[in-house]
Amino acid sequence: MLDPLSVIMWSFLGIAVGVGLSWIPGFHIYNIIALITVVAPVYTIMPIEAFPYFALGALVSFVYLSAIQTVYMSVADESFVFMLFPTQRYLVLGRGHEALWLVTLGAIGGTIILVTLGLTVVPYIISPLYNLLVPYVVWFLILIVVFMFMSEWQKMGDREKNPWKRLAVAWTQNIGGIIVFFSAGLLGFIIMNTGVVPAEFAYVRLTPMFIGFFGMPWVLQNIFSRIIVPKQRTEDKVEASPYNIVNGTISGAFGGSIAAFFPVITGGMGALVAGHMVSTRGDDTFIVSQGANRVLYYVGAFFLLFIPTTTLRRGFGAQFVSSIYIPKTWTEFYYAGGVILLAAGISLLSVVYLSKIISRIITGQNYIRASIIVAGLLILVSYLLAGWEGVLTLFIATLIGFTAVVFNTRRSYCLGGIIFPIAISMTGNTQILLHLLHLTPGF
Amino acid sequence: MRGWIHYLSGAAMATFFPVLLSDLRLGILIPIITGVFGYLPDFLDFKFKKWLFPRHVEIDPAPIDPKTKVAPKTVRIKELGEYEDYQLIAIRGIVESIDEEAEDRIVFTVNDGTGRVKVEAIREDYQRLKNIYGEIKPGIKMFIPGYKIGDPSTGLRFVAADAPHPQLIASKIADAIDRAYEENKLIVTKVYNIRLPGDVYRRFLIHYDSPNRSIKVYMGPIVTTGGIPIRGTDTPEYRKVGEAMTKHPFVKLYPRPTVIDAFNGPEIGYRRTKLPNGREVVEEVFIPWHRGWSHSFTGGAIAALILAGLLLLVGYPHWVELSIAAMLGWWMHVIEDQLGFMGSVLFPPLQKKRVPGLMVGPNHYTAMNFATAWLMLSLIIWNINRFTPMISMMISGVSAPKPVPLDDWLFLFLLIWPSLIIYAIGVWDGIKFRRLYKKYWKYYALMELSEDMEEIGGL
Repeated sequence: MLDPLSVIMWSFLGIAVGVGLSWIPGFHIYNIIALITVVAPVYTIMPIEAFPYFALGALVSFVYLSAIQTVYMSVADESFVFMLFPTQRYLVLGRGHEALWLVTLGAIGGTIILVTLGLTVVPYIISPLYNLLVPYVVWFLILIVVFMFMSEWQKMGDREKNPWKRLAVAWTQNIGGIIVFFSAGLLGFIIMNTGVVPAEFAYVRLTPMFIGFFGMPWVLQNIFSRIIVPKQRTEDKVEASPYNIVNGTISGAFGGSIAAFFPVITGGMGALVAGHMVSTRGDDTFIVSQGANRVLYYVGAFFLLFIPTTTLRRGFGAQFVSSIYIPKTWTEFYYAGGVILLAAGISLLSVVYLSKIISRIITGQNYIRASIIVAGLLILVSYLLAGWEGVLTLFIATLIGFTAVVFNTRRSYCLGGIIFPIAISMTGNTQILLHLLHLTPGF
Repeated sequence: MRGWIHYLSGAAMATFFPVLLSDLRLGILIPIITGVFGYLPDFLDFKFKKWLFPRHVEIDPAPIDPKTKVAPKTVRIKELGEYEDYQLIAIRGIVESIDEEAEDRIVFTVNDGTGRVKVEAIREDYQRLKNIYGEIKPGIKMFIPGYKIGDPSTGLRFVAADAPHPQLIASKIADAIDRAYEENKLIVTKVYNIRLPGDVYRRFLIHYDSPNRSIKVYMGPIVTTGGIPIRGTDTPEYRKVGEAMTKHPFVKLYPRPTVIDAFNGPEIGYRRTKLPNGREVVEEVFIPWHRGWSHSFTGGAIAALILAGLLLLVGYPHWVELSIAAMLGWWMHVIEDQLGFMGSVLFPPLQKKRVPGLMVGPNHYTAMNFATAWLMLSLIIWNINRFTPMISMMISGVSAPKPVPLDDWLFLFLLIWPSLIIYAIGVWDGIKFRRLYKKYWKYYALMELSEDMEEIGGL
């Protein structure tokens, strides 16, 4: 059993890694932890009981600090993508720092909700809820996926003069979404079931695919958009009503909790559902909800690992850490609650000051050079994790991810890369599909 | 209600049938159809009917530039005559001469190589040009957004502005209302929104002043997609309001102005109708392609019959239960929408017009939405819990205990009490709202009195 000082020390190390690296565009803490573990296995230099706290510290700081890459390092112009993300709109209006505060306010709200409910109610309701709902998890998962397809707002076609042309143009986007989902699904199915991508750790083999789906298209969009970032205001104030902040926090926490509890359902899918349930409207509410959502989704899912009354493993972080050490005692559980608060406090201070520095640096920049460097780094990460097969996967996944951008459709359809193979597996059809595709199973 | 709520309601209907729950537990996912049916009424309207519905009048206050995909569209001076008065467009050219200049007004000539036009800028618009270009003098190159007035034959001038003049919208709506009355048919007007650089939108409001037979359009500030106004973007007073009179009377059932900003501009129908007192007026039918057959009990029953046939065809053993659950899912959508204001055509072809909604919780939309979502989630959890022993018996021949070992009705009450409280608040809010609504209709009664007096020469 670790003493409190050791818990704090190793958590600090995790927080330092998170704060130091999470703001870099295109990087995800899971990639970073995986990379560190493959290149320099940190759990060999620390007691294995400390590894969950190291990861927890890194994860909390990632959730707070990665808002910087979302707000400042994602640019687009409206002729390239039909609709800008609310944070991109804030950036274009010179209010990036304010957007960052909104995300952070949501994250603070989410942290308070997580720690309050996580340390009190959750350990007692999680088991009956799990027993009740888990037999129907495939139903919930497919319900949400079908709803994603059915509910997508058709952005184009409104100005066409001919009714049939309007219909055809409007549906181009939905058809694009279907293509993206199933292409991603096929790629994910092949990677998960054939061993075509070798990797030291089973979970790491998916990393190049996810970098390709989400990280790389983002970097490419920055390159193609050629937007010059206007001067940013850095006053520490936000223009949002308390109602909107509370509404956004509840919506985000709700969506994040759904995603944390159910396997495969991601934060974005949870946010879609929760946004409808709490009827989230407005950019400020949306941005706040993103902050809360990410805390519950990432940290909440990871926190389940520490609950002694259940054996739930949710998310890549928990799966990965549990392969090294699984916390078992109530003391470790309460330590985890403390680490979340400690990491959130440090991350809050870091994100506000880092935001001011970065907003000054990026003013007048168009990111092209920086984006090319990041693209190179992402290729290097893929190579280090999974060799040339990883780079090839990254290339194919990037094509799929960028297709979503071109069709102006939801990027979350790339999650077909994981949803499709898992749904096939949960319904017992993996062998049939492997046979149909003439693929050889391998792991 | 938001889409997911309808979808969830449809999904919840499947859980009332143990055989369907049993299939879901076995990984047979076909009962997902009930969720699809719950959302299908909106899907049919918004994904198909909306695009195919005829449009008789198009109002485009700010055409989109094909290159930038936002307004204003940059046009050549020789082509200015092709555009309507007051539409927001932009010209790019060199100042040839300053024709008139005063403290708060300037008139100058711009040449873009295809022609020349007199540009007028006053007050805030003149100040804005000065802020961008400093002193306006011959030889400088300018990009000027604004609108044209007149045509080349009678003399055309270009007014610098950052928004279209609302008069264009007001006049066209008034014309559409008169046309609906005179032609005695539904006239559908498509009002496009105003999309500006940075993915922001210029908001405008259409107000139907029925007693005065006046259409007033207010040009508002720039707002974000979420509808939040951006400070300092309001339009100057002298081009904030446009007004046009109609020849014929009209009414608007929904007692609030129509606001147009982000996403797509709406289709608004105008139709001649008879008021209960026999008087003929034109009524506004907001998004006329919505809430017809698709939002009816009849439509749900027909769709369920078609589904039953398809399920029989594919040999699904629980086709009766699934068809009934799907129909209930569709009907739940109709019922939930009926709680609002707009209402639906509930029993076509016996009915042809929308039956006004029950107006439950008009000021608590978010809470009502959440209450319904919570209720449906509660029903799903409750049904799964109470049917668990039966389903286990069906699947494995052994009855498993309920995961939550409480009395069914007590468990249901524990789950749904938040929804019940919110609904009670909503009903009370609806009663208050209806009182106000009655007052509003007295306003129309006064209008009719005025009309009658006018006819006998009283006013």
